[in-house]
Amino acid sequence: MTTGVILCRCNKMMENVAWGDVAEFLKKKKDVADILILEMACSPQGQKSIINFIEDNKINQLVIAACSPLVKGGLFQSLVNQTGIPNQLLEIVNIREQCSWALQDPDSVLKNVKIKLNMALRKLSKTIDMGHWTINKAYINILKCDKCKRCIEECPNNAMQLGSDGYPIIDGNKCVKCGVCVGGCPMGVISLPNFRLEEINGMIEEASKSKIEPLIIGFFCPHAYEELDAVCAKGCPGLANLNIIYVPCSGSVNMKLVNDALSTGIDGIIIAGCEHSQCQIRKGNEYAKKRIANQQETLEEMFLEKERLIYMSFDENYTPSAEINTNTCSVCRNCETVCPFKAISYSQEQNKMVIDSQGCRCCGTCAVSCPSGSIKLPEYSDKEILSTIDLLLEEGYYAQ
Amino acid sequence: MPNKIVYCKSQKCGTDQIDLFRLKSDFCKVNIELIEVEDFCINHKFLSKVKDDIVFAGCSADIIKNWIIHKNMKIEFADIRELCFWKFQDREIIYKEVILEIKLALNRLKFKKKVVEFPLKSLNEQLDSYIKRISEIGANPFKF
Repeated sequence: MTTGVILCRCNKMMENVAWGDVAEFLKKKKDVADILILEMACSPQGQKSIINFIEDNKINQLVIAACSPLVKGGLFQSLVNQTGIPNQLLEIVNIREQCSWALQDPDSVLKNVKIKLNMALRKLSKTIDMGHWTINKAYINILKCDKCKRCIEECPNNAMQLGSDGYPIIDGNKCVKCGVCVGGCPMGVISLPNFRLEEINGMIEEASKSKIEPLIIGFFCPHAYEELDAVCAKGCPGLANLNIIYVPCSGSVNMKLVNDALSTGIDGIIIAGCEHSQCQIRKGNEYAKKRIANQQETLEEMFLEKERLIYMSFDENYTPSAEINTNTCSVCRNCETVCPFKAISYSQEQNKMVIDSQGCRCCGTCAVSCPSGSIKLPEYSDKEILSTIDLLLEEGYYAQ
Repeated sequence: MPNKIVYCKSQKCGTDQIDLFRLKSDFCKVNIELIEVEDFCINHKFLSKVKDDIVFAGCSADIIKNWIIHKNMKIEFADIRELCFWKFQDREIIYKEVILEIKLALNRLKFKKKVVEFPLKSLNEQLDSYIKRISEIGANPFKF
């Protein structure tokens, strides 16, 4: 495999990164064929340069060290797909938010960038197509499956059924690739097309080589990752000790990974996910908490401190919550029924409907279901949408 | 509260490829001041002194929002870089699209609430206290 690395300077928004040192560090790597430093990888010129770089150097796996994957990850994926490289062979390293902005001190930034690049390269080196990349669902290595049926019991979407041979069968139409089955499998034989335990293990092994103390690994679900990005923009010194691994859900972290991390010398492990009923995957955070509690008991039996593994949720109220106008609300409790996050409840003491601001994800299901129109979203109100439509019509935007 | 448009003029992003004099005078007619800032992403600190409600015309909100937003700020984003300059070639079409994007952002700004408090405490506090706790416990014995 020919590996290429693209470093994006993000239009001087990462001035504290010693780009020359990073390039030197990468040049010494045997598995890196070539490096390209771009001023702005997402710009039209940057996109062309990426395609030329891949084609000219016959790159077939790529690391892009740039902004958070939540910002331009989709663009990079579609761009790289154009050249025939599958998503599994593209690794986006978040050096902008998690290194440059979070740490600010150039020495710490450089150290962290190197660790993150090492982790990404190691992950790619462990990536193997088992013939499942084109299948858009979780898959099981039945050679190692012991038919315990836990995945069937735990799947939040009922996507797993028992086959006639006793092995689970995964329904691709129902599977949302949340990874709860990956996290729960005691044998560690379930994988997602872009999430294999062996790959994550490789990243942990690489992180454990760091000499920073204490050395902590964080498995962050997309929601926690988004909150972390927001915080990093204003500085997050704790990231000097913490290496983040993006996981599809907190429930997808298998305790085998935790054991492996501890056995390689990682001092602490954080599994960061949603609080209350926020979990969009449903129950992922509940499973994670249960598994952590069980694992903590095991750790104590091994004379290790249980604090070495913890669950964290941030409750930042980063997403604003919906608001109920109690003057017009008839307390029909329709919203309570429809809320997918169970964030609305009836308060007997106050005789009104109450929204749990930490549980609400502002999806708007309650607002459109409210017969009296008493629920408003802080953004995207009906008034705002209608005035936008009016403005577009004034400007001559209408169907022709 | 009067509105201001902060226009990011960047050669690298291509947002300088517009008749800014015309744009300024077009918005001046409706009493909206347009301030042009060269490479706003690295020159954004002056924002803390601006008390007005702002429409930022430049790159996508995803890229810059967390980086520039602060307490008591009312800001809306017009993504003119990705949606106009990188999408169209014709200068006149770009101009029209820029005007439209800014107008839409000004409209959204009317419904926007001030950032009362930017959430920062919980995550940093939790991380710091966990790192402190792990330091107290000491290194993982498997390390040796």
